[in-house]
Amino acid sequence: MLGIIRVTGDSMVPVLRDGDFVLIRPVFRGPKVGSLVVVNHPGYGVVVKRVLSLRTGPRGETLLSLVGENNAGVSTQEMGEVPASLVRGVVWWKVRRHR
Amino acid sequence: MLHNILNSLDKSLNFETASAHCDVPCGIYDPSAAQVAALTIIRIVDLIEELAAKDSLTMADQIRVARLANQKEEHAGRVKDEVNIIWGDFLKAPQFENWANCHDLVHRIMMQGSKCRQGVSRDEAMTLLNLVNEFAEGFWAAKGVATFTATCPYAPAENVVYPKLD
Repeated sequence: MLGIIRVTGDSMVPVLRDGDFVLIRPVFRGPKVGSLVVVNHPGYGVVVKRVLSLRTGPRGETLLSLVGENNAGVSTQEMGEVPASLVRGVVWWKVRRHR
Repeated sequence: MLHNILNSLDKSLNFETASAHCDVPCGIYDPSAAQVAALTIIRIVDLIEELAAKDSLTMADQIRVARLANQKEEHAGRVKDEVNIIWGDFLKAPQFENWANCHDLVHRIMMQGSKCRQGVSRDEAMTLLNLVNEFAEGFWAAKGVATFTATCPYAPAENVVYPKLD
């Protein structure tokens, strides 16, 4: 299902900035490395991040490692791996705030 | 233009937000925020005790107690958050090597912060301030900045560890 999401925070600068909107679409054949995804993270709530890597978990599920565009703060290790089932959608379109 | 349209729609439809956590390494770390929050808790306890000394409380007094209790809990949480950020984001292995009791001190601040959230005790609030002052002393030492202790120039007029910057 398509959805419009407003971005808050600066971890995705310069790709996404605070106040930008993104249009997300469902994931059809699984998220790909490098995709921007919106995820229902169990610890951090709804987040927008880039897929850093993918691996198959012990029960055959796809597990994603996520990363921000900046290299500090909440790291990939802190976010942990997230099952693909928690991906809300892939960023399909970005609507940037005027600056 | 499209952003303006979405922004207008957002005001009425309230689109869901996705957090891009603030990962910017701003490098601004200062325990003073935790110290001020700890002082605030002491001040709030004093104000609550002033009200408690009254024979009866008016409706306005009761509302004030509720507000004070709310602020006390908020500031106790703030102490914990501020110390947590310095401990988790700023302090690294080299600082820990020279600060033997850092982890234990931070843990005690977390526990004491919770005690101050739960109760209305000046002694507990003072213990929290003392722990946070000790943390501030260690933090500034880790940065190679000398400290001094002085009475803060406002109520509750308790001792605070300050960096000696001159």
